[in-house]
Amino acid sequence: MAERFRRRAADPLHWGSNPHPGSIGDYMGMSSELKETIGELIKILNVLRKTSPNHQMGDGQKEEVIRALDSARRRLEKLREGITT
Amino acid sequence: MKIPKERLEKYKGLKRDFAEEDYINLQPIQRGGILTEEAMRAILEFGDGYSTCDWCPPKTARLDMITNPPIQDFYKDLAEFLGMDVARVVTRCREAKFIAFRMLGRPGDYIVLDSTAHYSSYIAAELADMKIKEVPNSGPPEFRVDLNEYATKIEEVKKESGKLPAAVLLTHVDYLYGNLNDAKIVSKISKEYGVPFILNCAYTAGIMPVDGRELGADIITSSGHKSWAASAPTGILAFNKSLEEKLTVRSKIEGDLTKRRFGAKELAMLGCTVMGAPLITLMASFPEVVSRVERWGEELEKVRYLVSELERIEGVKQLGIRPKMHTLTHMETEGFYKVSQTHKRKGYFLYDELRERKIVGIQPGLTKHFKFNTYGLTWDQIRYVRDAFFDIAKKYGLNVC
Repeated sequence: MAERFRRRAADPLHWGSNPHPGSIGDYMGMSSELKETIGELIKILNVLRKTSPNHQMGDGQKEEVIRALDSARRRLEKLREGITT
Repeated sequence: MKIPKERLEKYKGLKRDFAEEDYINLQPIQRGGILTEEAMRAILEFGDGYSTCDWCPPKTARLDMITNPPIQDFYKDLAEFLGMDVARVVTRCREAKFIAFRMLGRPGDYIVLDSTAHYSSYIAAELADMKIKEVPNSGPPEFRVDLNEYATKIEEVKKESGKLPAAVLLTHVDYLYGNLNDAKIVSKISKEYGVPFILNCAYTAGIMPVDGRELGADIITSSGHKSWAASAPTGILAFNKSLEEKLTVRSKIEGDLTKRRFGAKELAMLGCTVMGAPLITLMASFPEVVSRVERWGEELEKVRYLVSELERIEGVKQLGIRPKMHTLTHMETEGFYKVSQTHKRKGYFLYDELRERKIVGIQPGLTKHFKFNTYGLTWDQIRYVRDAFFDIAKKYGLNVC
């Protein structure tokens, strides 16, 4: 059974589907959530690039960094919850 | 062969000394290749080997036929953006030049090129087994290419070889002085002689507006990692419909035993070219590239400002044509050179001082003259660079007027 789910999860034709709650298929959602989280952190890297080397940020840039950090934290918490329940 | 584990340790956790997040990097070849946020994110999706090829159509298995991710559309949009009819992504600008030379001429033919062309233009001609004829420049301090001399050089080739050159190549902006050449002059000459005109836009297309149709180019070559916010290696070969047959001729070879043929493959591209992460970064950055070329005017304002400020330092003078028409800049810096003569670190003192102030990209050891590129720096970063140079100049007793 596990092997069947693993194969299904790896098959592009089944991407986005959720074959069985609690099965390996759930990790598809997890990987996309993880990538979104990394994306939020990339936003911060880009602000750092624009403000290097002393990183004196304007108000808009500070807000952007805070928004990205908050979003990343929310996503990570959701992922953590998903894996522990 | 087994490699000892301890020797492999150095390949783990690779880190760059001069991360863009921590330093201001003035390296002339690097400013236009800094990835966009979208490109960095796309690497997460398509960093794996042949990941762009999941949906390669089996009957026409070729990179430019892939519709998911939208590579086929991208090629069309890329050509349109450059004002050309057809575009291909290749590994590097130099490969694009080599393909153009190889497919337009025969061994022994001539290529006429400007004397400020990049070394890879010469080597591409050499690999294609061709000869070159250089168009002179004015020398110091402007190093201006005498564009009307293209006609003289074409005549020289005709006289020497009995036939026209296979192509003429003009470097739109040269890598030495950042001089912008008027492509229309060379285009007019090449059309009069009926010789294909290749415009090397390694330093222009992707950061400033370039319209091949308006400039009269038959072929445009460019560099993704130099000017299109893409990872290396990525090059662009764009051309007009009239040359499509020559440049995209299909493979005709047949296996003598197996009778295998590869008729779908484009010969000069060796089948598929850049797949995976580099191509995807080029595509992911494309919307920003389309938008950023519209801000070229501000980039010129920034470089002209920095040049005029640095020239306040004793013995500092910009080389090349004035005013600056490109962000790549070559400065003569006699004052810093004088300092280096008595400094214990000799020519390396300037590099050390800049690095201490978190500025890199000026070639270590150079003080008499050096190059930099301000493309994409914010006004705050431009002022930071100016202040750092002023600070160093004053520290070593150079006047700042």
